[in-house]
Amino acid sequence: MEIKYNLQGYLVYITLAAYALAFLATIARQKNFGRVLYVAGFFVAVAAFGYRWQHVKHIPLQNMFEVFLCLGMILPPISLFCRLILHVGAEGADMLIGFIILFPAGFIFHSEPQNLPPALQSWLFAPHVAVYMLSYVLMAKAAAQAVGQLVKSSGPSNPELVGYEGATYRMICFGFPFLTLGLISGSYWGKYAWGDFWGWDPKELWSLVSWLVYLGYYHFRYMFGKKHAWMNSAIALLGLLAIIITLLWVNLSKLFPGLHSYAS
Amino acid sequence: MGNSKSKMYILRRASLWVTLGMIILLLVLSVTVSFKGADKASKLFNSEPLVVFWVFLTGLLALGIFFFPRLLRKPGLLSIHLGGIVILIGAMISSQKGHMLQKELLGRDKLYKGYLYLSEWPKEMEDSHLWNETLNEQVGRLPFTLRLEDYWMDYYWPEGHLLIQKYPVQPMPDLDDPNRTVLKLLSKEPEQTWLIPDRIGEEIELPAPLKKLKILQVIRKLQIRDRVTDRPRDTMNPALFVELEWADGFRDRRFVFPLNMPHRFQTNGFMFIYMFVKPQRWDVKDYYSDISVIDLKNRRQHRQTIEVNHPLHYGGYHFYQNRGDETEVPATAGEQRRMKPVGFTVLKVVSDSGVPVVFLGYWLLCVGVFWQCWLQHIIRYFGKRNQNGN
Repeated sequence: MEIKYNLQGYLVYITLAAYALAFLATIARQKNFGRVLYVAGFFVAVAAFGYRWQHVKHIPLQNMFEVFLCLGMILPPISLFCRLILHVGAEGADMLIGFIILFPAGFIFHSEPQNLPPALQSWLFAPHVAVYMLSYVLMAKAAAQAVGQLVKSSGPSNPELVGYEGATYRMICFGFPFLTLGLISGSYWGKYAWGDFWGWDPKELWSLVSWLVYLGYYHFRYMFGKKHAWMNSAIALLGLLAIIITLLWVNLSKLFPGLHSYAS
Repeated sequence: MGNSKSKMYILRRASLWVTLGMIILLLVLSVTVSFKGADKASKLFNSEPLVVFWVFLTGLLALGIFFFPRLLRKPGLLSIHLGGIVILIGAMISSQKGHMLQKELLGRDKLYKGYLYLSEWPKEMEDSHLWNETLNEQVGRLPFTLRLEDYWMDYYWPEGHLLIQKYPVQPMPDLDDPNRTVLKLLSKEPEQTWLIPDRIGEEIELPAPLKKLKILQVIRKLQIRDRVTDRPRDTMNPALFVELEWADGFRDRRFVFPLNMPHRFQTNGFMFIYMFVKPQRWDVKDYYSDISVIDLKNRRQHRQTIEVNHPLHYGGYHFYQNRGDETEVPATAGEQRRMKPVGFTVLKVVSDSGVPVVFLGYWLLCVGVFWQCWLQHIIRYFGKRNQNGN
């Protein structure tokens, strides 16, 4: 547990408080007030990210603190886009996800700035990590919808929103191109930095596992999706589990030594 | 007719089941081997049973296109499956076994991978031998030679400041030369202090008799022999090169050094110090190898500086900056007392066979996924809106 007594830390804590209060307001049926807090939290998160960028003098996507800060920041606009364009709801769940994501950035991960190692000084660094961040948030939203399908089959109360199973599919369809782009840009970058498209590094293997789970989701849904709709949702949850392992366990555990250790 | 339709149905179902099985097998293998490290994973996925697996997977993807005419009608799905096939073929061509097969079938004798050791010393030394990663076993020779012209490392440089302090002074006659005056410090405490960051172009206004100071150059490793240089190789010797303007318009250019250096620049009661704190740990920013490639046939030369993320592509091979360092050798032949630093580098050399094929597969896969997941829905949405007259 590490409390950050600096401006960077205070900005993260304000965002955390805003997301938590937004979630509480939403479940207390004060949706509009919840949204105001959520949007306010987003702007503070943008300020935290901008401050970090200015402080470390490169796009802050290098270590776990920066990655989780970015994940927490991009969640509100994604929620808004999904609700307005894709008709996928569960804003309350998004607020809770935002709080859960930002919590380790505020209290667990160290925030000392680090210099970029030579391998990360590439034009591919920002897009590669950014597309993965987008896909992870979208797949987390898909998993939240999948949980809805598994525990409450009646669907969302708002008739404008898509049912849980359909919403899971929409979220995965939205996130899968980003996941693919992340995998391919990583492989392309690996070829230019280290000489190999694929180094069989644990991080690479687990990102392949995540991609394969969603590939399996599409094939399974095509084959048996209507008959065993709950299974589609179970695979979506498995996908998120693979993502969590890729993002957290592979970087933090000493079980997986590899080329991506700078992200620890 | 009905019989052939049901047979096709069974084949489709079977191929989908096998596809799911292959995905699950690949998943299980990836998860299992991820605990054992990259080397063991690489060995497993390049082993003979897995070669069969990859060939089978490629065939299955091709069969999928044949069994499911829907794939031909859906450009996104077709592109995804074709992308998968092309990537796997490209990976096979670029693999070690692919190179061996190309040698046997096509007589194409191209090295798969190796490491090239190059040193700046002895001067003009060229080499074409490739070694294994630990450099203790030779794996082949390139059809051309390479020479290391220069090797250096760049470090993250800590931020410094230029400190200017004005001390109260009084003009006193010089006792040795009564025609001159010297400025005597009246106090050890400065009466005014200025601090500016060590960035080129930074300026500051100063009180009379001075007027203005501008930083012209931030030098990390200053060397003054026959000319002033900023050699990254040599030991740290930071300095600022500044231009000082007096109130009467006179301009002078001087070096400003850190406090621990013997040369201190002071004039008219102003003292200039380069505030530079040496970091406890130097983080490497990049490694550079300035390489000349010499074609043995026509002695034509190609010169390029290789750094991480910027490999050299020449003669069917990619050359990557792998590792390097400095060592010391006698400054002159036979003399052991005076040593000079020389750089050496190790380049990873990888054949470029199959690389364009893999890139083509990546494009097909990406275009297919974006088409299938996004574009077809967007086009359909706007098509419907236009039909409804919105």
